[in-house]
Amino acid sequence: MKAFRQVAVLAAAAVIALACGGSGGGTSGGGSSSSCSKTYKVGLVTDVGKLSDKSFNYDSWQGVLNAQKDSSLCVQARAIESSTQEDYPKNIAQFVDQKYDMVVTVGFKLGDATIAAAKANPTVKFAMVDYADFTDKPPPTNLVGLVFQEDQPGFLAGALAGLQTKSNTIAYVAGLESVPAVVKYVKGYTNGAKMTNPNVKVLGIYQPESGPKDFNDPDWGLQQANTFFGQGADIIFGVGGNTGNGALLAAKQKSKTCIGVDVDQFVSYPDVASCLMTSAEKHLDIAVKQSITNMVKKSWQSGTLTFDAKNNGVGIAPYHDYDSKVSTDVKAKVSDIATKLKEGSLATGVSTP
Amino acid sequence: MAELLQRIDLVGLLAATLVTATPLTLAALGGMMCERSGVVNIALEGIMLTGAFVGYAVAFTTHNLWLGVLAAMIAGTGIAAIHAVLSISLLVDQIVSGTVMNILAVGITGVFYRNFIEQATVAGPGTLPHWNVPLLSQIPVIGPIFFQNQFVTYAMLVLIVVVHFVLFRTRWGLRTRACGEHPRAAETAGINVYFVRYVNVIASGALGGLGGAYFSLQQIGNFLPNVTGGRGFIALAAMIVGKWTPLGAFLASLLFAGSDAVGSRLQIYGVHLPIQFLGMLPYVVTIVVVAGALGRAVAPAAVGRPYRKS
Repeated sequence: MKAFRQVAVLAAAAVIALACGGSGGGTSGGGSSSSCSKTYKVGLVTDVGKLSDKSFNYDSWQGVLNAQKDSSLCVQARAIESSTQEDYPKNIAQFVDQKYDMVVTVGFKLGDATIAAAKANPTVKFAMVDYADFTDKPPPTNLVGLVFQEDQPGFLAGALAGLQTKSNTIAYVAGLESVPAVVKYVKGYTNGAKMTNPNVKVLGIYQPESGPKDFNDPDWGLQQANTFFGQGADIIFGVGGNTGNGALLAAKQKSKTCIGVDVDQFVSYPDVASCLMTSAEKHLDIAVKQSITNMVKKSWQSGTLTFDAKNNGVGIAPYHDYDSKVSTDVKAKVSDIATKLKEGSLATGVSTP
Repeated sequence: MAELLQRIDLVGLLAATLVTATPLTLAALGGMMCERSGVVNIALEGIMLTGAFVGYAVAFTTHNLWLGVLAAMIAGTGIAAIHAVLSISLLVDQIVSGTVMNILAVGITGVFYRNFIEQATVAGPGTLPHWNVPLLSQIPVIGPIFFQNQFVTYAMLVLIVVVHFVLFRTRWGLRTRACGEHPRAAETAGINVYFVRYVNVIASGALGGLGGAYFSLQQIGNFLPNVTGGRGFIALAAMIVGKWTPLGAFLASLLFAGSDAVGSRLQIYGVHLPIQFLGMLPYVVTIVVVAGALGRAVAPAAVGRPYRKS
């Protein structure tokens, strides 16, 4: 009797867990305009998370939607949200099976699945957002990796921080050092600060690898930020998903200044709006739309497409609520640096692979 | 020298240790109430996770962090109550029941999070305010460590004393320990073993739920899937290392939390070890300590055994 009860309890739990775990599913985009001789079907596969994540998935999807709105491109778009990492190949295959012309995958975690799918389906075009690691695997001609020069927005954020710091000490709390984008942001930030303020001290830390907590440990990020505040820092740059967000939250609690990353975090993380000076951004929407345009206009480029200050692929977000706390003099200096990065007359000093 | 002291920031390190030890200690206190009465509670991880989620959901909806804290504790008691029914009345193996609660908590919080919270575009409820205790917070060293904290950490400090008093200085504590050591003898002496066990298991749910509030309402002002990240299990280790006493569990929690804080600070101090090794430090310390560096720990004699009324 007792054994039966235990089995029954376990079975009940398993049923509930299964019923709960199997979420996910599709989200559809709109239609296409009628004046097209051929409509191009573009599918987007998200990283784990929703299209509404106000971050990578959302911005990439905006790029697809912008392409769909552009009547000269004749694009019809759909997206699938991945609920676990095991979904990546399956979700990519769904679009391939339905004869889509192009598949966009979001985030470096989908890199391997995308490369495998591209090799298996040479007639379908593939674009990977934020990934182009082809060092030991020559890219198929139907595959493009969209990468960003993160050192440039990092440099701008650092330049601003160097001008704004009152304690001559600034800091960063970063995600994994094994992710090149993170390192580029950090190095750019450090160099930018040292350019505008040669006396500045830059403190910082990378998160140790910890499996599910990678880029996802705000409590850890918060405590590191508090350490840096204890060491005199007054501005903190959070570069690492939720881990970095923890650092931003610490700045808000301790009335310090924070700088966001990747997207305009004034929008994506409104909790910290009051301490947010700016965000070092990469414009995923512009990059994604560009790759779709290349496919439609028959100007497809395989390999790596780099987005930088020149093609407006990166930049820093508006000051928002911080606008009044940044002097016009500082604003002018920062926008001057932005212009020089754009023209190419100024380098960040960060070597990009 | 002053430069070096500022770099090491020992006060900051100790303050961080106390904060990090908060959920470990609370869950360990809960586990202790439970085990002292004879019920193993490995559901603490799930209890904390549920507390973290429900607390956040309520704070998010009502814009009241204190209602959130209350809700976290109530949610914890809810999960604990299910565990109590299964393991006390239905005589289900306590480990099985606890595991079921943990699985259930991960699934349910994950689903509700994905469907209701992840998509929210408005600002969250924020975090519990820092309270500086008047005068005491101005004492050098002691002040910044103990008296400039947030609610859950203060509550933890008070509860260590309360649980110690209840377990070792009250009639209820004596009965609890009797049920954990020899339930048959306790019943012969006129103690209602089921009642004592029920109350203790449910109390452990409230403590665990408060520990959950630490994550979502005190530290990060948000909920993330599996935000507790195994802290409930480390708390059980702390309870064992602390030999089922509140002060012992607190010290063990400080040890685990301290190795965590030191591990990440070594990188900040510029010690050139691969950061993967530094990240391993808390786990290595846990293994070494639990493996018996501090001597044998003896559990309550009747813990883990369902009690059938005669």
